Amino acid sequence: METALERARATVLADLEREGFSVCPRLSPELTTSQVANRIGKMVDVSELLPGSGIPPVQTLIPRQVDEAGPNQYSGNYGLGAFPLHTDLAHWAIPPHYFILRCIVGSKNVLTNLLSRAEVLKRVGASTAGRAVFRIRKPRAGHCGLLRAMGHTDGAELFRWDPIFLLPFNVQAQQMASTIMNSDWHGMTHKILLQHPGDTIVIDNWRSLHGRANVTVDSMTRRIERAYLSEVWA
Amino acid sequence: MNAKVTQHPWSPDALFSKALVYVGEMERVDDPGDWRSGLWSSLSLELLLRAALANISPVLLANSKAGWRNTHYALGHAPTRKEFIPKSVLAG
Repeated sequence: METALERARATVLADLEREGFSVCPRLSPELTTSQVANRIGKMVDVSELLPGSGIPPVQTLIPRQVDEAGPNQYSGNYGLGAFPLHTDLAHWAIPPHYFILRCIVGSKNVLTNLLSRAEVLKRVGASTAGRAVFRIRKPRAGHCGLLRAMGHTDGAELFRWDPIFLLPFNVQAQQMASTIMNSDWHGMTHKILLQHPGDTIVIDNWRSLHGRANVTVDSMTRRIERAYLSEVWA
Repeated sequence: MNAKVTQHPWSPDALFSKALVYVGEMERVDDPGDWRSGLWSSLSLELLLRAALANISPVLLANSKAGWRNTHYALGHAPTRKEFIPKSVLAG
């Protein structure tokens, strides 16, 4: 089984460089998400970055109604409906570069949609995205709450977008938000089904947007685990 | 590069973001001779210069003559005095 993980590791980096995501079906289901994440890359300890938040290093994602989750969570805004395309933790100064979604209890019809930022930039325009400035919905006192949609960090391009936690602050950001929210991305998204235990997606959070399809009644048992990574091992 | 939750107000990214907003305000003024164009232009230029300095180190923005606390703040440490207001170097 270790060999299966080693084999997957070899393809993950190549997939990420080519597509911005990597799909690993039934990846060592006997291992925990934490074990898999640590062997794929370097995990981000959210509890260390946000002390007192109570957010564990591996988060469990389950379908919830709007009134079962807080307004700071997607379920608290969209409930069982489709989650719009976004990048995770876009309101952080530097969002985690990668994350993995790993199936614990699968479903037959809840798709994870992935969209390359390249498709977004084609429609929005690289110049507009490069000048788009967003404001964090709830900025922290003593810190700057303005963030650019496109930036450079350690030589890599960082793209961020979130329709809830980021608010447009200039004309370019308004244009970008309007284009993303009003466009039909249907034919451009990759649709991934996390159906079997161990099914895993590794996503480049700076290059790919993701969203969840709506949850049907027969998929209420769906359980996905998520872990953030700052880097993926070569 | 590890993830980071917050952005220091004197970080190059924060200052560059502000500069972009001010450039946008300048571009909204049709007449380049309008005083508002000059105002936004000068403000955005100042922020661009500050971003460039901060890109070397935010410490270069600290008004060290006004006390060590400004350098301490520029280094990313939380203020040690409640009523502390950070002072940066003057543009003029």
